[in-house]
Amino acid sequence: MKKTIERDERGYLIMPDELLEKCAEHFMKIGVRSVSMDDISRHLGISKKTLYQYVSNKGELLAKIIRLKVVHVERDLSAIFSGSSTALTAFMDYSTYPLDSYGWINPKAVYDLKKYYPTAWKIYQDHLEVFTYTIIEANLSRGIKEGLFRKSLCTPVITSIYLRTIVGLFNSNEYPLEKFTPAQVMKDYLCYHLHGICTEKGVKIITAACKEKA
Amino acid sequence: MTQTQQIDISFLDKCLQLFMELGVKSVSMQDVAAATGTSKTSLYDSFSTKQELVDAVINYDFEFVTQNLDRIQKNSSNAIDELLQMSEFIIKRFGQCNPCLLFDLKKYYATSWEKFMQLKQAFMNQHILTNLQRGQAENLYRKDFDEEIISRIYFSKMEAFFDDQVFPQSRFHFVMVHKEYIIYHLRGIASKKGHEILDISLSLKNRIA
Repeated sequence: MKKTIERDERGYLIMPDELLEKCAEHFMKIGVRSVSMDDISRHLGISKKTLYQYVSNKGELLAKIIRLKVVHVERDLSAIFSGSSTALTAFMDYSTYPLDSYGWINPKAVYDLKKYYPTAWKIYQDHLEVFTYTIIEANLSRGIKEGLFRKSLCTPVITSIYLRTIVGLFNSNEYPLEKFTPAQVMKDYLCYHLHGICTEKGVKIITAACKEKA
Repeated sequence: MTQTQQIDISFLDKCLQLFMELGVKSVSMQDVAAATGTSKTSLYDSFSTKQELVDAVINYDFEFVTQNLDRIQKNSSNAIDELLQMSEFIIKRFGQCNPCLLFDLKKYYATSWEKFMQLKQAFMNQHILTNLQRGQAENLYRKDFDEEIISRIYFSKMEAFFDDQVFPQSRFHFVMVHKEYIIYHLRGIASKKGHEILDISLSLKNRIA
């Protein structure tokens, strides 16, 4: 029996996640701007006519892709932050979360999205500024309550500093540090950040991990 | 630039005070003449455009700041003391600044602003790096990080402090952000001994806290 194909309120077919994932791969490999709808339909093995039954244009397709990625990441991060025994373990688990799960965090793609595909860009921005900001700030507050982070921290300032740094670490223009690996830079920053926010109790927990090489 | 050297330091200082109070856009050359007690004619003798005046004032400010930070570096008792004094100086200097000044510079004098930020960042980057090395040598900072990485991260924040999108003036005052950041930085790099010194410095002198 043929599966009923779902349509949205405008009459477009709902694009299955597997197809969106395939598109995402292709965009990230070739580049957001240079991939045409022709390329996409060929890559997916469908006709262009069929592709346009799912979306009306490339911007819309990108928006759907970003939304899918955001949903996955937010689900994963929520689980990490709520499932940990302390704010510190939550943060340390989060710091090992592979940020390339985003699939779009390569700086050129981010730049292109921002410049040419504002709807898709806004979804990513909201994710950063609202979801990620909220979850990081909540983690700081939790850590303060648990006596692991300093009571005097101004959580909005620290959260903004943290987010700004992490986003900046993916922009190689800010860190032309050819002699260091990204892992080394990230590790030094995370240890610096944790030492910067931890109480003596918290520092005892992170000291061993920070002394290790990246 | 010989012309700048001939210009009275107190004149440039008065201009700077004026700009810091009122911004740049709303201050006319007439206003500058009145505030500095010069005639508009002699003002235009020295500076053919307002742009030239703005550039001269920026250079003056940069010289003033660098001389003072060099002095602090020499006179401070240790790396932590140096950073705390440096921060107090910067807060005092820029804390009184009208946010309009930075807004005006970025919007109407973009090239001057760019130049200013580049000069400042290069200088600060060097200062932070030498401070890190000093602190490590004094055993007040840990040695389990690379100084170049941390100093790059530190100086990359500088632009963020002036970026209204990251720290909107309506929510974050420059002084508050700067104080918070210095403590975060010092706690981030301090050794056990460094933390002890920091605890004493911050509470005894009731400094930045």
